[in-house]
Amino acid sequence: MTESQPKNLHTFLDAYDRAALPAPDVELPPVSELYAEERFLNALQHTPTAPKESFLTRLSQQWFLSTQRVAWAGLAVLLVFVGRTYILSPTQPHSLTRKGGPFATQRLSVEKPTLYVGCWAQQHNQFKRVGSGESCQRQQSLIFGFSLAKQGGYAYIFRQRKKNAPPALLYPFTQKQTHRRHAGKMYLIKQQKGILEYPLQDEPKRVRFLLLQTKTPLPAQTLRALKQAKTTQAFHQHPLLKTHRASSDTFTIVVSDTHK
Amino acid sequence: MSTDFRKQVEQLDIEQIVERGYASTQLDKDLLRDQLFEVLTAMLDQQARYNGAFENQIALEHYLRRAMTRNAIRQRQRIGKQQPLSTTQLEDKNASPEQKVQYLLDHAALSQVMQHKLHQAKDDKFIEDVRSLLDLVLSDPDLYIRKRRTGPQAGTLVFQHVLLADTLGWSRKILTKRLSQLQQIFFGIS
Repeated sequence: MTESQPKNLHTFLDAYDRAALPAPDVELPPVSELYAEERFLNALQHTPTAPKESFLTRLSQQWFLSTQRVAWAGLAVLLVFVGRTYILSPTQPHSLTRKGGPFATQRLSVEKPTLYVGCWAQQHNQFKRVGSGESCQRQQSLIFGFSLAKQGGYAYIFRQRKKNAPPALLYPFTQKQTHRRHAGKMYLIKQQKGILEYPLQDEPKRVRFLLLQTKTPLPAQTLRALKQAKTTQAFHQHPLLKTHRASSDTFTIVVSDTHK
Repeated sequence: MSTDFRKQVEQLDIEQIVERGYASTQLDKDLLRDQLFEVLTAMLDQQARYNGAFENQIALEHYLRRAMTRNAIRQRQRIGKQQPLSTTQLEDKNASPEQKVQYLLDHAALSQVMQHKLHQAKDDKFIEDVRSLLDLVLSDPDLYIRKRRTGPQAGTLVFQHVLLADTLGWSRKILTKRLSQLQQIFFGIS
């Protein structure tokens, strides 16, 4: 374009009509192409985001796999030491999965409900599985997983801060989130799209977590009654639990204030 | 007698288009204005082709801004004052997702942007999948993208997941994953 180019629409149209403009040297994108591109990007922008597989999720999955590996390594050792005849006797379960099944389909113990706990240090991206009675640092968070005993059912996790204090329900977060879970399968406690990170900042030196498995979902009235149990014994022996064929697992975490 | 397209041109706010082009490129306003008039000249020379091509004035202004900006960038590159498409040009951290959409398309064709964005991706399968997805959607955007009619997000555009997954032979999980990866690449949404 030259310096005599029009500066506004009026002078431009006037010059155009007088054929006083030089031949244009531009590339015009096809209208349909731009339309398609704009729609694509707009739709992409409004697509619901898939849950992101965070570092923690991957770690927890590894943790789950390692739990399975430990269980299967243990079983292998048992097979060697206890003896083939005994293990393969008709009264004993000689295999938890069908022969040749892929590793991922192998299952956890279905003998009793089990609560799994890990310590998560977000600052250092460090994750450690812990056993009951072991310690986590106060700056860390807890990650919970559980598996249920045979027949499956409904899982409830309670927290008890003192031996004789009434337990508080941690999971499920709402009555609506109560879903039936399968036996022998690992479930991580998730909140919205991510894994629940339970902070230890406000916890006492020792905190106890109770996993409760019931055959049927607990009504709100039963949950209220359980939360009023004065002692752990009273909680476990609560008459309402018998009607729901409940079984449980207990896990204690020691909260450490010192850095290792 | 004025054509429909000529009438639409007569109602344009030239300065507003230039200002918006300037906001996304920081290119000289005179350059942008000159390019806009050149684009308009070329379009008026083919008025019959553009009659009814734009459903409203906003659509025409969007088109003009993009054509103007792309040609202005091309012009700058010709005289060596503008580097080819660079990462920094496309990643304005403060821009809203809506602005990013406009910004991307102002600068270059989506296929070019995609090529640039995928340059660093090392996963060949991912690149192949993304290209297949893009080609399919762009081949018939009205079929694969629909406007939500109900709900709180009524009016927004959404992909036809089932149709896309079936046509591409993917599971819906893979499709969702690929779309999420593209979201991350284009808008930094995670």
